[in-house]
Amino acid sequence: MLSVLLLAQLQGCAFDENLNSHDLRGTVKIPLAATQFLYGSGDDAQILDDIRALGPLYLGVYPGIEEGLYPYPHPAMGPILSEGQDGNAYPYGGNTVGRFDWACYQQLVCKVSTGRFEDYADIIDFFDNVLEDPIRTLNGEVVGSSTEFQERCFEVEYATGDNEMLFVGERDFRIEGDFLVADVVIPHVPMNDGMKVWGWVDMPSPSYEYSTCDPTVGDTVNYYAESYDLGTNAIDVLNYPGKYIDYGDWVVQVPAEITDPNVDFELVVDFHYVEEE
Amino acid sequence: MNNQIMLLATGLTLLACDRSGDDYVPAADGTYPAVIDVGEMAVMTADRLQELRSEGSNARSWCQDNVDGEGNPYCYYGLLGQAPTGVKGGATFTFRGTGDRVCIVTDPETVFWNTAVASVNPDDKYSYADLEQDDGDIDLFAGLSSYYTGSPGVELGDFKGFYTDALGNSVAIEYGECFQYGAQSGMNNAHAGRASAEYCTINTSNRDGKLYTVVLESFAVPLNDGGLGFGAVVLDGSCGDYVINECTLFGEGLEAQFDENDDVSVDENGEQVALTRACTVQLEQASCDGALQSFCCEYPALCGEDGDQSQCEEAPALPDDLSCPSYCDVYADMDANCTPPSE
Repeated sequence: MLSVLLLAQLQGCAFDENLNSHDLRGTVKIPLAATQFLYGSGDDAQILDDIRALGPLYLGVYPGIEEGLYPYPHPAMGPILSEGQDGNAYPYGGNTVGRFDWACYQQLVCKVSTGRFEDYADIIDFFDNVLEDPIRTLNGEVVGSSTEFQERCFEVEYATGDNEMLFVGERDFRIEGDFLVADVVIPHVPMNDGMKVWGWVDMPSPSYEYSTCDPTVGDTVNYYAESYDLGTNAIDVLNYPGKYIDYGDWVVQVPAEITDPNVDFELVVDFHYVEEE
Repeated sequence: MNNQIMLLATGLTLLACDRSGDDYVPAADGTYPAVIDVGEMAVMTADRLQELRSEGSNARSWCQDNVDGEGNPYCYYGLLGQAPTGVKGGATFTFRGTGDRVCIVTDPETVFWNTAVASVNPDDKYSYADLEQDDGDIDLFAGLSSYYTGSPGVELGDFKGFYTDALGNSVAIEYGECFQYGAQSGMNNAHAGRASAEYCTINTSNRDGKLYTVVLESFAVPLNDGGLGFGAVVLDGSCGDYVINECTLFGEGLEAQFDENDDVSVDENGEQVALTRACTVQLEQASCDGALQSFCCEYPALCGEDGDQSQCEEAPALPDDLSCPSYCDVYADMDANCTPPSE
């Protein structure tokens, strides 16, 4: 009797709800040249080259991509409802490669993405030797060692292991020829034959700020005398991409068309949006 | 024996299935219209609002007597009835864009508060119970009339439109422009609870003279008389320019007058004849003044039946401006402390 019951229950696992919801899988490729970015202004302006400066790569699935809306291909928009604001692009779904994460110090709010730094020393090295703007505590003391960084993180995040620090660990991108390549999954997308996967990489401004990150929102830290927002990306980045894409960002020129959700897509982020001379 | 107890318990449990909840909804008997259209209203200035507020319980007649050059009233007070099951009830009216911000306000009857029941340091202002049966609830919506889907006076609609994307998918779009922000962060399309005023600012820039529709959806109709009294007004400027609360519009606790056939009387303009229920203006003012406890102790018929009278021994004295001399004339049968009128 029990066996029959168990068998009947197991049969339930095979029940197909026939939902039109699919996990789209594929790869995104970014030219190695995308690791270069302009840093500083005036006489101090310089071109730096470091993979760790890549902000999140945003991927959206859209009904269509249009030319002419912006200097780069942009998702088709719905009706304009508010003066001065684009129409909503009404994405079917999306995901990112890397996301903003707070790396324990106020100075690092909206400055660190996941999947870019291998460990604490990597972050210290980047800010120390690449940006030449060392990480400092609220008292102005330079953070000089991984141990100090880790200890601070464990304290302020009430954490017990590095596995809780999502901003350090394996990098999202691997180098394949002239490209940085990442595997991506865009979960739970309703299948619409002919829909397009499109996206862009948010690159830092010359003052090392990311246009998709708002430092005044997100979680809040309240730790002794410290009280401030930890920043996160704006909630409508996929609905209004044109609002956030800025000079220096890399944009997909040719979207990937989805006709079969079970076939992997490949996307190349190959258009560098720069200010015309 | 155990089986018999189980059977009895099951039978008792099944009896609960007879409970329909009808007692919490007034009958849709047509005494008051469930759907009305007020027509076009004029936008009111802050000075005129002050004038209206000073009228107290005469607010409704002030609104009927004061119209703009086009004959449109500056405000409206009316009564709505319970809509039949499956039908949205409410009122609609229109106004024209001024080219600037306007503030739409509606206030359903009468005053509601949650009774303070804390055993330690209860908020005395709210320690007397509310009379919930005289409270209604209206949800406010508004947008350009061109997007409105309802039939004024016949059927309530909304401001939803549909956009078809490049692949033929239909996406619902909210064209309504009246958004209220809730007490919790992130609630940007909220509605106030029973008897509370609802209001929102609409920016009509570049739409000077364009027609807007306001929908006052009757969310809950009071149980005491099945009539939902309300006031509505469109104010010049942003809602932030005004203090909007229970006392922005006085006298919305309306009571219809009935003729010899027990039908609601109507005047020569077809409007229902209704007067503000006695002492409700003072109740509204007491709510705004934080004097509900004193008011309810003095005039218990206006407040909850199960109000704890023991608190009245220590309640502050009622200020003179909140006194209601006609109380015992109207509520003598509900308050044993009123001396019966001599024969």
